[in-house]
Amino acid sequence: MPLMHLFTRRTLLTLVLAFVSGWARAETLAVIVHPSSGVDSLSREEASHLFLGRIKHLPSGTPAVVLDTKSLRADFYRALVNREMNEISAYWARLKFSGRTQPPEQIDDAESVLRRVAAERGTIGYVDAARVDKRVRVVLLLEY
Amino acid sequence: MLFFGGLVGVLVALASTVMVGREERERMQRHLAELMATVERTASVAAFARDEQLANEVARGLLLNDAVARVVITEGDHVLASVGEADNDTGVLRLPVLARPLTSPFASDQQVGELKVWPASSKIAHDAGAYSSFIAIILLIELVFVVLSVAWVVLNVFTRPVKKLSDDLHHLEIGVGKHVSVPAGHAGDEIGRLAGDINTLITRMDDLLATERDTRAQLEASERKFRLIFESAETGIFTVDNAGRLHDWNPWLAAKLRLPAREGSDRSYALGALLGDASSRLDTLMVRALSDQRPTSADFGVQYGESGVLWLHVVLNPLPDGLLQGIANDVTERKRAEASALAMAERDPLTGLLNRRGIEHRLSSALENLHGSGLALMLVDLDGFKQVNDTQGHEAGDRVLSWVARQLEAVVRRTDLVARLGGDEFVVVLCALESPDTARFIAAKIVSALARPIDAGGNQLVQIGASVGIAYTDSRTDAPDALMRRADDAMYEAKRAGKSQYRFAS
Repeated sequence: MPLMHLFTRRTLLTLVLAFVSGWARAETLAVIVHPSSGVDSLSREEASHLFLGRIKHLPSGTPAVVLDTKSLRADFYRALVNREMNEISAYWARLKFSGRTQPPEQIDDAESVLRRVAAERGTIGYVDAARVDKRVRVVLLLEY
Repeated sequence: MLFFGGLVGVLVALASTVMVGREERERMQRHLAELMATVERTASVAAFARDEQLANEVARGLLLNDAVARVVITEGDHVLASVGEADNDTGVLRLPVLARPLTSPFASDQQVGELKVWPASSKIAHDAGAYSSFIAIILLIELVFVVLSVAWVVLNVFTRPVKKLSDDLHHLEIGVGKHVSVPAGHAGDEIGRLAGDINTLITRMDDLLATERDTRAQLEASERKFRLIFESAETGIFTVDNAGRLHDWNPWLAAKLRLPAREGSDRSYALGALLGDASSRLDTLMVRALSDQRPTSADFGVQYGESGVLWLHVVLNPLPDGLLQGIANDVTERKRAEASALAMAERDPLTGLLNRRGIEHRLSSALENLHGSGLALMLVDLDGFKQVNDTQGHEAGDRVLSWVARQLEAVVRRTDLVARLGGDEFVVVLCALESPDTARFIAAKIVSALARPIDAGGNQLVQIGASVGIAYTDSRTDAPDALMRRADDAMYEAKRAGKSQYRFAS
């Protein structure tokens, strides 16, 4: 990846984050990955496929470990696929029956998510955009 | 009837089999579509999550259904699940493979896979067959029931009462006032009405027969009466054909014409011969009656016995077909009366001689019957009779006249004619004379006979004389009047010559 390009993208993201953190911090969720995961950004579809178990690897080829932030789950899925939690639960209930596709791991708080994502290369999760820091890389922003 | 009922039943069963098959097919298709809709969501999830295990669960679940032969769930080109074996049945009931797109549970516009179901055609056929058989059995039972019911109804409601009616009618005696009985329980329906109508007809027929009997009796009485009139009529009644042969005749005619009774006679009798009609007057009469088509009549004198004549007045009346009806009345008495009346009219009552009319009548026929002989007409006028009448009275005169008449009759032959013209004038006609000399001789005898004295009654003798004028002829063309005039002239000549003598007309 060219350095110039990386710089531009990161600067842009930082600018956006600086912009939204002032007045819209509670209304934006950030999908985050490990900075060295090899993934710069995800489309909304790619993100939904990862979080709903259709894709089990990151675009870079790393097996994906998907994390749910419990407190943000409802907002996240509403923002991602426009579905309520009961529908998401029903979906997972069907898949859980086969036992082959596992739902995301449930994490209680955003800080734990940040730590896990910062610690493991294939991990993908989501947190309040305002809490994003340098330990993780934002690949998709979702407003709700 | 049972055969047709069965035929209809089989046809209905066949039609229902086809229809049931078709219906079963549609029902199965709907059923499968519902099944697929039921599992669609789970299948979508399986396809979305590319979860072969879940897909297989869904597919096996579907396969549990009898109607499903094979299930395949794909995700893109990747087959997630494929279970069951497709039927190789190619029958009419085979259903197409049903396919349903599987969309993402989270984006309904995004297709993530496909659910394909192969229907179990043999199962459908089996179900349809079973259903059809069931319907066929139901139909058969219904058919048998309906046919038996109809047969029962026809037998009890229609055939039996009609048969009874027919039997009644068959054994019914007409004309004795019997009727057919209305079958029980059918008084108000068509069969009852039929029985009523039959009874009305029977009554009417009885009436007709009674009327017919009366009419025949009247006719027979009337015929007897006419027969009696025909047979006892005091007049001849007969029919004759246009050839003159008698056909029928009554006893009166048979007796008069000496015919056998009509019955038992096969000889044919010619009416003309029976009537002694030699001059074909009867033929003329018949032709006239037939051509004018109106009654004609004539009198016929039939020789009866040795000397008698039976006079029949025959009236012929034309009938159709060239026949004539005839009536013959015995008019012999009338004819005799007529003849005697005629004779009376031609006689002088005092002397019994012919009178003027009688002699004129006979003179004409005597002249006509001259055949090469001569005829002498003598006019005899008495001399001095007026004096006898005036002096001795009319009775004496009459006696003289009678005596003269006898004298004149005495000198002539029976075939000659003597007449008194009136007063003291007499005529003698001598017929069939060989010559005038005979007349001269007779005239002389008359003159001498009448010159003798006569007993005028009361012992008085009178004497008269006679002047005789003779006209002789042998020509048939001479007129009686002319002959009379010539005799008259000759008589006056004799008177002028001195009376009691005769003179020949020149």
